[in-house]
Amino acid sequence: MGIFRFSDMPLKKKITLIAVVSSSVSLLMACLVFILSESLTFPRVMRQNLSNLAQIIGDNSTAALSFNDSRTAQGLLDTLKANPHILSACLYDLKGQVFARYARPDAPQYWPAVVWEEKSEFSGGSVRIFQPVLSGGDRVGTLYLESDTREMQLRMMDYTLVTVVVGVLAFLISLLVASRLQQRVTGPLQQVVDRMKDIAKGEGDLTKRLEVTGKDEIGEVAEAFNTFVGKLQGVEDMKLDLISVVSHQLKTPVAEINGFIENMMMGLTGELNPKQKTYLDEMRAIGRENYRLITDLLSASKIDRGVVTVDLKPVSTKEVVGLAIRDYEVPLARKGLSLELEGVWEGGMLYADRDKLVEALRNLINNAIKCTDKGSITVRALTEGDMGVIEVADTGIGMDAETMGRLFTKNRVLGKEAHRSGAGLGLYITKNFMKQQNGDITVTSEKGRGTCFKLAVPRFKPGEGGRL
Amino acid sequence: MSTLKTLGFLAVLGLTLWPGGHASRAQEVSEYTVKAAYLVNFVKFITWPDKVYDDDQGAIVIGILGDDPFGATLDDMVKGRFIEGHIVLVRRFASYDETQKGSLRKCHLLFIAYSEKDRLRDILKAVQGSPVLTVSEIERFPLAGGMIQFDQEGQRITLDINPAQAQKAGLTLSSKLLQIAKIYRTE
Repeated sequence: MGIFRFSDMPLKKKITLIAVVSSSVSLLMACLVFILSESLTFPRVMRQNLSNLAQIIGDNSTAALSFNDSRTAQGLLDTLKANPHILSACLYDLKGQVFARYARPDAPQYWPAVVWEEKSEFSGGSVRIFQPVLSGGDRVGTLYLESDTREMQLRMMDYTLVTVVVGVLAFLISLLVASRLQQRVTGPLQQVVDRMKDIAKGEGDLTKRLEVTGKDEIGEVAEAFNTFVGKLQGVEDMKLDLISVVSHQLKTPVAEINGFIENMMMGLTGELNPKQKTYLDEMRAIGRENYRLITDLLSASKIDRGVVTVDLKPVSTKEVVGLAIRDYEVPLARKGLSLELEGVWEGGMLYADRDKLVEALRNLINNAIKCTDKGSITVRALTEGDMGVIEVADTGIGMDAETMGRLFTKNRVLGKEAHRSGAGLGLYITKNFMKQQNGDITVTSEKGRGTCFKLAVPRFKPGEGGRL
Repeated sequence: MSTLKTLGFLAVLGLTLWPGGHASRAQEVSEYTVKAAYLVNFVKFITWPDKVYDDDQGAIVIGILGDDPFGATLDDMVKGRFIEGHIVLVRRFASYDETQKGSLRKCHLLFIAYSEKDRLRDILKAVQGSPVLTVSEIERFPLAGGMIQFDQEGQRITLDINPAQAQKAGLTLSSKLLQIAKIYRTE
C-alpha cells in the first residue's frame, strides 16, 4: 500500500473511507458487545441446565436410594448416554460411597470423592456439579454430574462465524453505499472544479453558469462562483466597451493624419526635398499600420461582443481576388517577390460577404509577404465539393505544429522571427469572419518550406435559396 | 428437621447397610433396622386419601401386629420427625382378634408380623376396604391379598409388591417405588 497521506487523498476516497471506517467500527463494537455478553451469560445458562438435569436424575433415583436398589440407579444413570455432552455421573449414598456411576465411553473413567454441599465449578473444559438428592425433605444421597463445554464452544464458534460474515457483508454494503453517496457530493464539486480550471486556462466561456443543485455548501460554492463569474464578465464587457470606444475615437484622427500625409506626398504643400520625402514615406507606413491595428481591434471587439453581422450575397471568385490583390505591387516589388494567380479567372460564384472575404484574403496575403523573404506567393482558386476554396501559399519561413495549434486564438505569441508587426489579431478575426459566412480557414505548413492558408466558403447555386 | 439429625440417622442406617466386619448378631439386628427404615420410607412413596389424616392430629400411624421384631429402633427413627408434613406414631397390637378390627382400620401402614401367619386371611379381610398399606415378611404375601412383602436377594432386602391390592384400597403407589420392586399381579 505504501505511504499515503490522508490530506492528499481525493475527496471521494475520503468520504468513502470515513463512511466505511465509522460504520465498520460501530458494527464491530456491537458484535464485540454481543459476543462478550454471550460469553458471560452462557456459563450461567450451562450451569443452570446441568443443575436442572441433576434435579431430574436425583428425583428419579430417590426410591432406588431409599430402598438400596443400585441396579435401578445404575439403569437411571445409563440413560445419560442420550446426552452426548455428559462426561460422567455418579450417585453417592449417605455414607459417601459410590452407589451407581456412569462415564461416557471416550471419557476418563474417573469419579471424584463426594462433596456434601451443593457445588458447581468450571475447570479444564468441563463443568461439574454436586447436588444433594432429597426425598420428602430428607436427604437420601448425592448426585455428581460432569458435562463438557463443547456446546458452549460450538455456540461461540457459531457466533464468531456469524459476526465475521455479517461484518464482511456490512463492510461491502457500506462500501457500495458510500461510493454511491459520495458521488452525489463530489460530482457537483468536480463540476465546479472543472469549470474553474476551464476559466483559469483562459478558454472559459464567461456567459456560462454552474448549475446550482442544492442548498448545501457545494451549492453555495457554485452560487458564489456564478456571482464571481458574473462580475468577471462585467469587467470583460467593460474592457471590450473601452476598446471599442477608444478604437472609434482613434480611428478618425489616424485616418485624417494619413490623409494629410498623402496630400503632402502628392505635393499639395509644395515641392518636397528628398529628406522630407523619406520621412513622409516612413510616416505613411506607420500610419497605415496604426490604422490597420485600430481596425483589427474594432473587429475583435465586435466579435467578442457578438455584434458581428455578415451580408451574404453571390460574389465571384474573380471579383474577390481582384479586390484583394490591389495595391500589393509595391510591397511585393520591395521584397522581390512574385505573385502567382492560379485558376482565379475560371473560379465560380461564391455565396459570401464580399468585403469580409476580401478582408480575410488581404490579411493572408499581408502575412505571406511579411513571412516570405524570397520566392513567390500563390493565390489559387479551386472547388472542393460544395465549397469554393481560395488558397494563399508562400515559400516563407513556415511554422511548427505547436505554433499552428494556437494560430487562430486571440493574444497568441508567435515565434520572434514571425512576430514582425501588428497585434496578432488578424487570424483570430479571419477565423471568426469565415465562421460567420458558414466557411472556415485552415492551415498547413512546414518549417522552412512555406505555409498554405485555405479559405473555404459555400458555392453559390441559383434557384435553391441562393446556396448550393 | 435439621440436616444434622438426618445425617445422624442416616449414619446409623448406612453403618448397618454395609456388611463386613460385623458379627452375625449385629447382622441380625441390622436386618430389622433396614426394614424399619424401609417402613418409614414407604410413607414418602405412598399417597393416602386426604380424609384419613382426621384422627390423631393428622399423624401417620404405623401399626405393628403380632410379635414386634423392631423394638426401640423404629420408635427412635420416628421420634420427633415430620415425614411429608406429618408426625409418625407407632402403635403395637397383640396377636390378632376381632376386637382390634376398628383400630387396625385406622392405621395408615400395618406391619403384620410372622407370628400372625395363620390368621393372615382374617386380618386382611378385617382391613379390606380401608386405606391401609399392608406390609409383611410372610412368604407369598402379595399373592395372598397383601400389598408389600419384604424379601431377600443375597444380602439385599428387596420388595415384592401387588399394586392392584393397593389400588383397591384407595392407595396410590409412586412409580419410583414400583420401579425398584418385583411386581405381583392377582386376577
